[in-house]
Amino acid sequence: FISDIARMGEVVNFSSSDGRRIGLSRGVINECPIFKNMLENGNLQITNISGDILEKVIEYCSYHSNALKSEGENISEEVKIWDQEFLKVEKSILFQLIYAADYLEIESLLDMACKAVASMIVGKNPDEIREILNIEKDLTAKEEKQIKKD
Amino acid sequence: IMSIITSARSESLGPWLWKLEDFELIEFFEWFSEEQLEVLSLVSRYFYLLSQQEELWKTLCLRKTVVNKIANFKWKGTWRRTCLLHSSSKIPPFPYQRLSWKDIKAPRLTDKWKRCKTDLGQFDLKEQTIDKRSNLSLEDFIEQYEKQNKPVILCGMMENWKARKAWKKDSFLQKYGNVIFKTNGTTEDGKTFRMKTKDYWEYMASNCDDKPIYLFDNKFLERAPQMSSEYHILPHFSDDLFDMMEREDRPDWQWVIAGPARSGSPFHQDPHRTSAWNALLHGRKRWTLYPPDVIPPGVDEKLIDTEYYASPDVMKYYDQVYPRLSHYKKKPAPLEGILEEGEIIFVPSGWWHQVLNLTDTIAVTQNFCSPRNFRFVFQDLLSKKSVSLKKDFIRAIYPKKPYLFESFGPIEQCMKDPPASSSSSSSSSLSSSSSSVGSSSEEDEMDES
Repeated sequence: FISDIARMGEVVNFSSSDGRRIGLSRGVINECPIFKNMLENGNLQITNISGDILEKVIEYCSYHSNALKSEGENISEEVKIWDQEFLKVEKSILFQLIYAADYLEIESLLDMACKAVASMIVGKNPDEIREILNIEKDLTAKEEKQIKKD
Repeated sequence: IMSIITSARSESLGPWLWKLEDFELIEFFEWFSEEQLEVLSLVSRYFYLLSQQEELWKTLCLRKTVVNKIANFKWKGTWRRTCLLHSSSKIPPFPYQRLSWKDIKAPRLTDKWKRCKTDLGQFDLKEQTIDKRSNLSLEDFIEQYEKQNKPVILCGMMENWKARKAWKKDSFLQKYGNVIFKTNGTTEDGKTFRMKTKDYWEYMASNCDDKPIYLFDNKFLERAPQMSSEYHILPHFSDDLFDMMEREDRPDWQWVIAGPARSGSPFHQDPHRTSAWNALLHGRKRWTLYPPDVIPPGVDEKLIDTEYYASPDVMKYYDQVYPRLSHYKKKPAPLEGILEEGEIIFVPSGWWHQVLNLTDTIAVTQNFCSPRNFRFVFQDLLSKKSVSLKKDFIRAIYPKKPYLFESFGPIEQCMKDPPASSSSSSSSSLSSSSSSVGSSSEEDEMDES
């Protein structure tokens, strides 16, 4: 019954981890095997992704599934620019996108998000990296010396 | 105690990264260059462990040292040091001490390192169940083994081979040090690269990979023609019907293989159900065999049709599957044996086999189709989507030996293309054109060059 709705092109409401109802269109569900499986098993409760992040993921999937269909001349350039803008978000959102993309097995989004985090770190020294990632220093001075030598 | 351990990890990774699993973190670290990895190694303990991962450094090293499909790295003990010291006159401190911390347990990061330090002495066999026969005549071999499709190790049949002296580790280096052989190593695009024996010998001597690279060359006679006079094909294996085909039509059939301890080959069956022989010139090889109708434990049945190696790596197999063999109640025990220098193993058609090199090894191997295994080979050719090999095979052999094909019905039927199947993708690499399919009795690779 639920699958019939999806086939008819309508929207299926999933529940996010924070109890919001988020509508997923057939296009998005097809982009993502995890959603598809959940739908087929009649399970519409997403336990580990919040409504906000889910919406971002849907935004990503919708855009990309449409982009695949259109045949503009500069479509790949456009997509690149859109992707870059899409990832201009707060650090915490970026990391949550990584977890969501990982869980939902959306390779392209995971790649992109990881690359974005990587570029935050490139060119920074260890102190700066620790600050960006909220890590406390746990290496001793002696250990640091040893590492630098090797 | 688990919470103390996991919190050491999560503190070391920070609130953003600790939720990622180790293999995902390693993938994340793949985005970084050498210089960046060095910086990252100073961020925290867990970052240090991640940044030392050999697989990262192997990728980086090969990226800059493989030129025109030839790897020119000068091995310095680990991929990291080899990479960092490439084109550098720095003299590295040795031995290389890795830092570790009791409260940081990172099995995924340290398992491989531990496996490479495992002493392979424990892999010796108390009981060998593969027959070893000395001076086995051609007739006895055919009756007792080939017709029965039963494995055997032949002893004392290589005494007049020049290779017995010329293909020992030191003599091989002396004679063929400058020859560039193919290896089974690949760059990121999946293409294999070649190496000068001299350079490879350095790697072989002190590598610590848990899946070491090995020399594996199907064109070794082109690279070093004098090798052909240094070994002989025994009469037992000389009746090879593929010899009747044109050289460029027949599948690959002869290889020289050299590799260190821990290198080897996970369970597989040789292509086209050919039989094979493997003659050992240096070292010791541990063989594990299952008959054609028994899928070895650990082999993922779903992958058999699409993957050449549908089973875990050899070291992983001995780590995880082998200790629990008694749990696989429906499977018989495998045949096991240690191949020593001067011995030749016969691997009959369709037999699953796995090899672990217990020491540095040098071997020569060939695959063949004899009248005894003809029916298995031809059946396999008939069942494949790709037809060019089958047709060349028929054209070369049928005119001279039509009786071999009798049980397969009218030859015109055999020549026909198989009915179109519903699945459009031919994902099996075995259905690629005949001359580019590699096959061997021991290790394998699907080579495009």
